[in-house]
Amino acid sequence: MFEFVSLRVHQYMSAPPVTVAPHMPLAEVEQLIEIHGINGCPVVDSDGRLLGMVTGFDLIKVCEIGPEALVPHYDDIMQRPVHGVMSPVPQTVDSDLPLTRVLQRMIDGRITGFAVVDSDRLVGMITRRDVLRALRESSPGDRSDSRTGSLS
Amino acid sequence: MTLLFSDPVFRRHDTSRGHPECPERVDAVLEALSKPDFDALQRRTPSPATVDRLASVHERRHVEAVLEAIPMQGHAFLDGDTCVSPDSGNAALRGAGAVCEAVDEVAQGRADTAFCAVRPPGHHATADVAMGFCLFNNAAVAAAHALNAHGMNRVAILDFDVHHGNGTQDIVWSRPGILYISSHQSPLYPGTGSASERGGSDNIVNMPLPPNSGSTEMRDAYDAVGLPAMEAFQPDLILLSAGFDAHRLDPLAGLNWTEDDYAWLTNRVLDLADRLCGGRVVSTLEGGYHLGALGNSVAAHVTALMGASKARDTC
Repeated sequence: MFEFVSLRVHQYMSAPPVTVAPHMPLAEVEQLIEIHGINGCPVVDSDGRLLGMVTGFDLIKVCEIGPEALVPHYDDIMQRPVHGVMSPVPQTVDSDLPLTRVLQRMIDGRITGFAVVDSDRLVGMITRRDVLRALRESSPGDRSDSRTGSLS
Repeated sequence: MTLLFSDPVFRRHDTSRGHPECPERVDAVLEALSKPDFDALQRRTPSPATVDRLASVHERRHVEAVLEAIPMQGHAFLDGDTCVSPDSGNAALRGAGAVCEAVDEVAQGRADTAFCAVRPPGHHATADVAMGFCLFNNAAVAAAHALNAHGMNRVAILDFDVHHGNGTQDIVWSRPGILYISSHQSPLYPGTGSASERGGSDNIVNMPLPPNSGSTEMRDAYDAVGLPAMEAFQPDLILLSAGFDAHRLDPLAGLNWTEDDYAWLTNRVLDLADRLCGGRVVSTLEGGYHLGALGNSVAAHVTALMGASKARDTC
């Protein structure tokens, strides 16, 4: 259990992360979320700089029933580009941050995952699932072997 | 002139694999202090403190019980966090010895300031309980030594570790000759340190800081509460329980101090020491568990300790 406190983001982040470009239609984002089983993904420019974050929540939110329509026009909405719905200033962490700090920030902000950014470049994603895996693998009753087995 | 106390035995206090209070902490500290900027430090190796000296603040049977609990091989846990191994007793005795020797040197005017790069830390050790990685209360032992051996009347201990020094508070509570000032995150281990805990003669000043707070909150607390209390007490000597785990990268806590904050606080303390007690400041290492942040923060702290004594040498 002591070992968890010495773990850093870079040891448990997914890298390279699944990313999307700002002009990608929402339909493609939804497909990526589905295929990869992720909550959302970072939006990056052609130089790999982080512009924002788009999540399943953003896709739902844009389908909210409002004054313009009686029902959400899903097909039209899904043709809109990512940059219009993304959260423009996502919370980030750097890859050297202790996981204990990530865990606390996830609790404080009810956050599911952070983009990992080093020197302005997106290098990975760290999610609740990654932190739980780190906790499990650094504890004496490590069950990671059996879990890995069942996943593969 | 500034002294640096260290000893190879401090890195032989083995706390078991993966433990955050690890031997590499002293490596990080000594590595940071090996740069040319620190060439002027006078390096010393301490003698162990005697059981009699520890018994000035600890119950004698507690000291003996801790030393008897040290295993011949392997590890033994004194509580869920506090692990000892064959060299732990020697390390703990030399740690307390280092701070006492630093007090001797500074009290007798042979040095202005001193930093003791010791392990294990001390501020959670109460009169009769070893806990929170701590065996003996190095700062409290040294404060009692300053009062008993050097004829001082008032000694202040300022503790800026992110955890409250419940052990120091316990020992100091009914000793009016010692002022204990602590800033610490609250809530956090060990759960003590509310501002309402003020000691038997208003000789305890607690400054709990909220999680996620940083430079502004800590500087405000010291300017408004901690440093004025120090000034009012008029100490003959200032001891620092120097933990560096309030740093923004530390894995055991949630404050956001930076190297600059440690330099700022050290400089403020030295300004006060110059006015109140001939600049006499002795600092001893407590916590700090991010090795890079620990090294850099100690460097900022010791630079400030040296800067003050350098300024005095030239005037």
